[in-house]
Parts: sequence; C-alpha cells; structure tokens
Amino acid sequence: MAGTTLGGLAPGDHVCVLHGGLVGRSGVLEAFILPALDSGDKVICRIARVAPAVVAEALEAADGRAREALRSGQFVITGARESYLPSGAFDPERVIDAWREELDRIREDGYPGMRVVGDMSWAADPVPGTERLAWYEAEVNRVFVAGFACVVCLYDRSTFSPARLRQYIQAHPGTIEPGVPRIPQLRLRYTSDPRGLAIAGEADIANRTALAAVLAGLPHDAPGDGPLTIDVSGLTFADVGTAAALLRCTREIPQLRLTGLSPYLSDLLDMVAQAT
Amino acid sequence: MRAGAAAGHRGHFHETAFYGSDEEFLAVVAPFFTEGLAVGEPIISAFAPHNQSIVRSVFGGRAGILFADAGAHYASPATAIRRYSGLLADYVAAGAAQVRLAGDVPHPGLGAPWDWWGRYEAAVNRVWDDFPVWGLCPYDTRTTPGDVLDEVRRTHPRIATTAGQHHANPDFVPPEDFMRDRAWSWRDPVEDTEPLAYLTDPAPATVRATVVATAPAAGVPANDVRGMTLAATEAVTNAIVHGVPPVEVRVWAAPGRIVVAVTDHGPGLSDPLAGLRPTGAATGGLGLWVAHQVCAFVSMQHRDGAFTVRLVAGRPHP
Repeated sequence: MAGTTLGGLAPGDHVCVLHGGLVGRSGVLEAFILPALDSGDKVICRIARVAPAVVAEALEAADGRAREALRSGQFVITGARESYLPSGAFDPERVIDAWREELDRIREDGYPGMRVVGDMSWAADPVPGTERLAWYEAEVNRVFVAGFACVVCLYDRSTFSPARLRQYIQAHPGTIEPGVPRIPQLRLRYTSDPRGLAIAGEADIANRTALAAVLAGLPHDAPGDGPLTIDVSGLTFADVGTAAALLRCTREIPQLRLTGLSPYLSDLLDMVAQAT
Repeated sequence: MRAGAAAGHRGHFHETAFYGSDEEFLAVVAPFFTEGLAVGEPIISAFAPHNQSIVRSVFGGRAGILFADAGAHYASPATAIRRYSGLLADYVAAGAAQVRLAGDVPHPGLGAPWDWWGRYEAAVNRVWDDFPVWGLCPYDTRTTPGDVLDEVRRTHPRIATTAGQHHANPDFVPPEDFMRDRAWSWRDPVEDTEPLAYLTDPAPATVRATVVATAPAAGVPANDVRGMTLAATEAVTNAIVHGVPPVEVRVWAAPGRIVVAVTDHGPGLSDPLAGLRPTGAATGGLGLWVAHQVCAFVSMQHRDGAFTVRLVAGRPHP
C-alpha cells in the first residue's frame, strides 16, 4: 500500500486510508507504527475483526521494538468496538469527548506526540448510530487539527457502498488510496500567532465536510481569544465550494481576516462574491 | 416611453435579422440607430471589426452611440451577460426609457464555436426581461452556418427585415423548450483521436493532475491551464454530486488547446440559464457559471441518456 505516503504523515493529519482487505493493512506497521515508536510517540491501534490479544501476540513475536513498546504501554492495541461503541451504540459526541480526554492524558504522560490507527470496519455492521459516522469524522477534525495526534482511519472498500464511502472520504482532510503516493490533500492547523487557522494543500469536494466542520468551529476552537486569521498562503488549489465556504466565514465571523491570498484565489473569491 | 417597434413592450424586445450584403446590413442597422438617436435612447454598437467599421462610416463620432469592443464583450456568454447587465442597469438608473443594443454574436463564420452562444441567445430572453432593452442580433447569411441559423430562428421572438419591417417570429420557442429539444452536438475534431487520458470515477485531484500533465503538449498559457483545472474540478464535482455514475473524464491536447469532456449518466441540466448566470447554487450552478468564465469554450450536451460537459482551454476550434 501507499507506505511512503503514510510515512510522510505529520501531527495534525487525519487521513482516510482506503484498502481492500487484510493485505492492505500490513504496510501500516512498517510505515506508520514502527517509526512512531522509534520517535517515542504513543501509538494506539483500534482493531476490528481480530482479537487485540491475537494481534499483540503476533506483533510481539515479529518485532522486538513492538514487543518492548507493548509491554511498556507506549503501544496499545484495543478493540475498535470497545473504543467506538462503549455503550453498544455509536455515540459520536461521547467518542469525541473521549478523544479530548485521551489526548490530554497522553500529553500529561509526557509523550511528544501520538499516532492512532482505527479500523472502521465495525461501522459496516448494523450498529445503532453509525448513520452519524460521517458527521463524527468531520467533527473530530476539530480535535485533531490542534496538531498533537496523527490519525489514520482504515476503511475497507469492499464493505461500504460507494455513496457511504464518499461521505467518509469528504470528512477527512486527506485520503490515501493504494498505488497513489501523495501527501494528504489538505492540511489544517490551528495557529496561535496570529490566532486562527492555517490551510495548506488542495481543498475540494474530496475534503469538503472536513474543512466545513473546522471552519464552523474555529471561533470556539482556535487557541486564545481575539480576532481570527485564516492563512491560506499554503492553499495550492481551492474549488468554488471552498471559496464559498471561506467567503461565508468572512461574512459571518466578525473581524476575521484572510491572509496569504494568491492572485488566483483572490479572483475566485471575487467571482463567487459577486454571485452569492 | 419606448420609441419604435418596441413601443409598449415590457422587457427585452429581442430581434434578429438576416442580411446577405453590407447594404442589407445597413438597411437593418442604420434605421435602428437613427431612430434611437432622434429620441435620445442610448445605443450600444458591439459588432465585429468589419461591421463595426461600416457603422462607424455612417455614425462615427455621433454622441449617443457607445462603440463597444466586441472581442471583450463577446469573450464568453457569461462575460457578455455580466457586462451588458452592468451597462443596462447604469443606463436605466440614469433614466433611459429604452436601451438599443446591436452586435455580432460569435459563430463559426466569425471563427468561434457556437454551442454556448445558442444557449446565450435563448437565455437573454429571460436574463434581460427586467430591462427596457431592444436587442438586435443581425446574422450574415453568407457566413453563418445553416444549423446556427436554425437556432437563431428558434431563439428570437422578433424579426427585423431589410425592408424595414418588424414582425413576430413564428419559429420562436421559449428558452426552456429550446434547451430541452436541442439537437446541437458540437464536438472538437481532436475528439476523433485517442484521448491522452480516460478516467472513470476519478477524484477531482486526479483530473487536475492529468490536465496539468497535458499542458506542455498543448502549449497553452499557464493561466488558461489553471482555469481548466478549476473548470474540470467543477464539472467532475457536479457529475459526482448531481449526476449518475459512472463519471467518465476524457482529456485531449491539441496544438494551442486542451479539451476535457466530463460525462455522467444522469439527466443533466435543462435550465437555459445554467452556466450563463450564477443560478441554482444548490445544483451545481455556481461551479458551472465559474467554468463558463475561466474556459475559452464550454458546451453541454444531452445524448443517449448521458450528459456531457465539454471544456476547452486555449484557442477553441470553431
């Protein structure tokens, strides 16, 4: 799978990895987990379909570094159902709150960062609440954009309808497909000076709801208080929907400033502003 | 009070005329301008260079006629609608009872592909119906292709004759019916060759990367390539969100132009204003409108249960 791409992920990234079954998952260990263990990050794997103990045992046998980390608690393997469905149903607000607490705890424990692998195949089962998974995936960006955690969500192409898969893709800033090695399309990061958000990469339908959720939450989520700035100097492509979303922010959030506009983006915003 | 044949008419008095010589051209246009000048109605003359020089030889220097640069005004239908709407609003705000507008709408005889100008001729019946405008669109029967003339007859409710008459046009059909029944099927000749890329259900980012990769072979300016990446993104997004899969994207490069065709298997758009005005934002109208401004040419075609948007960057083939 796209191992080099996984290796290029950074804190603050939240990507959807589309795969075709067990074979696809094997690259995650070498490209994503072992390097993180080497740099001292906390690593959490939430796996489905296989018992955590079975996976842990196999990893311990296969790799000394993984064995050591599993024993020290740096590397934790849990069942996805227990993590995402503690009550048996999917309760997105509760899962998001749990993420906030977990991130705080791991920071307090002194880890420099954190990597998460979540196998989302449980969502293909008839679980109450899964109809809100796309909303959750978009909304949880508001936690991850803070930049400490790097999160990979595994979606098995064969278990979701194309329409559902599309919703999940749009809720992630980046999507990685086998054989398409490139960095995540979009990177979103809160900034403290100036207070606001930095947007880099390409924004379009493939990450529409992820960006929308982060923009909508910005006045509440950005660190500190005072006027907000959205830095788009790293935004190499924006489609009309993105331009409309940015315009909406400038109209609805008082004192919001857009900085780093390229001539291209500036023209596009003018065109969309005339029309809306 | 509006002067001349449009007296008593509300909204856009949209007239065509057919001429076969410079004399016939003047026989239609000169009285139209003279009558307007006599009563002080503002006049916009937006003809291509040859016809504009004929008009100038008769009326050159007369106050009351705005000689507009046809190349700029007719760069694209979306541009024409935007520019004329601004001018019309200004004249009306200044108290004009009627504005007279005459120009050469581009077609293959003038070196430009027709498709979107046919939609323009249908759309302006609606778009300018809020203005007291008399639009005269004369067509030269020596250079205008027959299939274009057929569409001109279906999109103009009025006809002016070289003998000075103005009458209702029995062949006119409402814009919505025109769009629905339209048989127009423009193709770029490069489509007869193997596409450089054929993508099924691609992510817009993949389409953009493909367009950028074709640019060196086409020799299209960077800004036009940039416009094409945006237009192709919008067409693919519309097909994904509002169309029916599979979404097929084909990309060609020819000297001086890039052609992208985006096909889905849904009903497509039948709003005659689609792409020409930023209408229907909820159904992709905004993206299509932007595509119409950043591309050199956009055609839309319904055929065999499929809907195809064709986009051209660079210099379109007529």
